[in-house]
Amino acid sequence: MKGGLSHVSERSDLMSRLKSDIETRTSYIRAKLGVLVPSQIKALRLRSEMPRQADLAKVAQMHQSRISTFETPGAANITLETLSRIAAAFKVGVMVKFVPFSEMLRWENGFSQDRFDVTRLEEDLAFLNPPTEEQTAIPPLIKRFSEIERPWHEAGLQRERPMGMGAAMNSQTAFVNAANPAASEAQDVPTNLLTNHLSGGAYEGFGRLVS
Amino acid sequence: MRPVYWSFHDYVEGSNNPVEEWYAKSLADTGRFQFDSLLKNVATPDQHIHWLGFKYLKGEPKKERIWQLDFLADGRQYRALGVFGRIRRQAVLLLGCYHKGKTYTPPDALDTAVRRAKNLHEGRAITRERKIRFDV
Repeated sequence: MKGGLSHVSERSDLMSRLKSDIETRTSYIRAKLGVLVPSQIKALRLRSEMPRQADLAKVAQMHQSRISTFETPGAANITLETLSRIAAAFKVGVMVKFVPFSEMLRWENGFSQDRFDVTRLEEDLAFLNPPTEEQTAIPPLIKRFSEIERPWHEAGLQRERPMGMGAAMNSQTAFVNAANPAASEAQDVPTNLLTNHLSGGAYEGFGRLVS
Repeated sequence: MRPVYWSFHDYVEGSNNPVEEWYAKSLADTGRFQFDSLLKNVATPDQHIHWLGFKYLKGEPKKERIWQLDFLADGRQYRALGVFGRIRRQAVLLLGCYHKGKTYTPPDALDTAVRRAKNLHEGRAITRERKIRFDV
């Protein structure tokens, strides 16, 4: 890893070899997977309720030494079966997809083990409680705009009184919906157009629902 | 692009950079790619104890706080041995070697690492930054 022109020529040489030689391509891909897969496993383990390798091994029904191997860069030829088992132990899914080299490099460059986390099955509401077809159907635009343009009192809506700077900062979420009293408990939960629509209530811009 | 927290430096003796020499001559493509990816990866975890393949060495090297980064390539267990620099989040690579059972290649790898670490700690050696490349 030197500087300046040698970097350019090294890169150019590598690109030529990647284009012409399947072994170089295989090594390149293997090296990236050999780091990114172990790093994801380690990140998920550290964030999970089984932060010790032995705990994960127990849930995944594997020997602890295998977990250790899976977290060693380049060490594991993990089969899809094993990957599935580890994912299942973490209660997350796995995607294996073919991508352009540029996308693979972008993935590697953007990956941070500290930041990597995946929603576990228990918290994966999009999977557990997906919106029904009826809820996901988007109403005709003309209807949505006509609702927005209705006067507040006609639409059964009232605006919260701005109070000081805090209220001003909350002005994006300062709308109320009398048509949905049940949602009044959720005053501090900002909702957006889509979720507001899904809740079945009238909406106004980006709003939160109160009685 | 993600933030890069750590910087990596090669131990340099005179005009020789033994880490670069090891990288260029001892590692084949897979090893070089693996090593590059590993450094890119371990540059971001805030705490070094979370680095992939990281372990402090035992015995004599322990006194110098020498650690290793393990990776496997071409059927060999490679080790990059290093110490932390005086600047926060600075890591200095002392040498590269490979390892089978209790045997290191080169065989004096641990002794050399200890000597180099001492040189560094006593201000008798210099380092050169090893740039992490995001274009490959």
